[in-house]
Amino acid sequence: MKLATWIFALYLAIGGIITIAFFVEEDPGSQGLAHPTYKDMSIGGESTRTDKIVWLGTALGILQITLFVSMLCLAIHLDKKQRVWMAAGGGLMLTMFLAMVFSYRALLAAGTLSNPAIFLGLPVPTAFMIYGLGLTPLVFVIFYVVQFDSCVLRPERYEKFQQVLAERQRSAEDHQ
Amino acid sequence: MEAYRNTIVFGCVAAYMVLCIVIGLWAMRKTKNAHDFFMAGRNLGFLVTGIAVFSSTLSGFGFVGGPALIYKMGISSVWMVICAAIGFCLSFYLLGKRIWLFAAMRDSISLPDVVATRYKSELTRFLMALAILLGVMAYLGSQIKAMAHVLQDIMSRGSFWQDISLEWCVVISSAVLVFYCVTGGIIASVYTDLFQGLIMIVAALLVFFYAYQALPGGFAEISQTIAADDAESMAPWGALGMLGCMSWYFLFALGGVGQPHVVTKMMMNKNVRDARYILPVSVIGFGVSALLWISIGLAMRALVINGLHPELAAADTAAPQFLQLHTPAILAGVVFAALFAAIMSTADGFLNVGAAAVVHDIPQALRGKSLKHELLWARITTVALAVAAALFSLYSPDAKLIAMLGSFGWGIFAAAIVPVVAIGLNWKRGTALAANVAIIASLLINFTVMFMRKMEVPIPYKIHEGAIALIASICIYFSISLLSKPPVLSKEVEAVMDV
Repeated sequence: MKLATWIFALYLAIGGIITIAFFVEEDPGSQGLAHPTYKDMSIGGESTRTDKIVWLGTALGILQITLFVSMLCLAIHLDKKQRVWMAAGGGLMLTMFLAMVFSYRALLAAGTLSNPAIFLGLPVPTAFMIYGLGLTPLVFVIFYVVQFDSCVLRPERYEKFQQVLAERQRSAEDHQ
Repeated sequence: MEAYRNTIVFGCVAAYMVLCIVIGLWAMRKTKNAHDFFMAGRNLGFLVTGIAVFSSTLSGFGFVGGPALIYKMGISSVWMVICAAIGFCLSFYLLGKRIWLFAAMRDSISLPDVVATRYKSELTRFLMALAILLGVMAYLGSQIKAMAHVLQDIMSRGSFWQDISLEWCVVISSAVLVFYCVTGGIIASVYTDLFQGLIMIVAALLVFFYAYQALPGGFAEISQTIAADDAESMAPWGALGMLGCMSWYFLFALGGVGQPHVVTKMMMNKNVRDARYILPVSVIGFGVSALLWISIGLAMRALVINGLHPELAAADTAAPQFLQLHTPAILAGVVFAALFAAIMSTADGFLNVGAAAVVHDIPQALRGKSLKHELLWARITTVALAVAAALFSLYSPDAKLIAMLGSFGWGIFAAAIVPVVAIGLNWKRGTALAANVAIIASLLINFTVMFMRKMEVPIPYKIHEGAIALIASICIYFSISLLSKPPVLSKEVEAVMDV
């Protein structure tokens, strides 16, 4: 399957999941509730509100991360080894996302969500979200910087571009 | 020093505005033609471009709306921040090199110029310019109004300006913005962005330090306080819920690729190879500045729950109140200046791409040539756009409409530009017909969404309407391209897309 077709399939799948969500009955508080004491503050309320849709949300997250990494590959030229690096980066993001979901579910099961274990100032699932999912894309930033000449702007391809550009400039000058 | 708090804050903001005017005057000497006005002569270094890219991305929303959302719904709005690194990667992987090469090939001065080259279609150029213009007008009003409200808040605290009207605040803040945009065009814009970005970074680092100290136990105690009050608010989905948060993650990661005032800056660097350094500069700048967004929101929620700060009348006052009551005067002054910087750095980019659409792209599409005296018309149009947006922000019959239009503008940019530009410049199979239909569909879907919002039609699980519009326009683009005959690309377009 060509990469663009694969990306299109991922978009369709994401669209499909969102469509399914329209048909899953919502629990009260699924979109948050007004805080009982403070004006203009909301609460999540009962954690059971996520039970019905946790599989949809998890699938949506997995598809989105897969889509993002696939789209990164759309514009660059990767050899076999570089493909492994990109896949590893995507795998790391997926791992962080799943760790966040499972650690959240584990706290729910243990009944300790209101008194969670803290890691670097945040409850563990939120720490996976912010430090994990938020920072792992830095792998792709490093990859872009380090592999720029070999997979983003290959010198031989850029040279070819410059030849066409020079040709175009010559013909524009001739017209003038 | 505390006795002079209001004077210090006002002094910092005034000094910031004076510096913007000075930069405008300096840039005026460097702006000799339309190419300089819209593209800064394509001569920017990587540091200037990198900081301009991130500061244009982070509008006033990040400094006021972001903390307000965290105060209001807990961790939910952090999804808009944690998508930044992957969002910037998507922008640079997909466009950092490609858009620069397209611009170099035809000496383009705008995004619709690039689109017209890629699709060999003046209709696509026209539709793209129209979408940008509509988005700019919708978004600019909300930025100008935000700027005026902040200025009014600052000035009304002093004894001399206590009764200043919102109209005067619109006039003063817009005048500064318009002055440097008109005199120095995009050169003034990117150099003020550089200065504005640096202020944002310093302000965010200092605020983070004070937010950390809001409770004795630092962020651990802040987290525990919020979780004890409502466990879900401190969990990954916050009050909004799982599907709503995932739709934000999707929209803000991918939608960033479709912001014309940001994407256009990727065409302005001197050397295509600079893209490799611009990406990390942008990511680091945004990441540091976003500390303010997260830290103020969490600290204020915990302070109010603990009874250490009075209950807020409106979530939007979370950041201003934290600055006024929990930070030293000089820091409050720097952050208020940073807030102006955040709003202006986005608004100046909008003015520039909007003016390019009016004086360059629409005439090109309709008459086959741009206006005579393009630079003069660009300056006149910049003033006209700002005046129109300011008048609309002041006299709109419905205050809610302005906020809605801000979101509408963002939605149009994302849904129209992501498929046509981010995908189309990297996929040879994309056709002009698909691009045209996707742009029209993005406008129609976003109008429908705005109408639904106005009618308060609920969307299940608060899935963001912008995400739905974005998926729809991308699927339309792919479907029509695959169903139509493969396009015949010119030698030049082939050369760019093969790099």
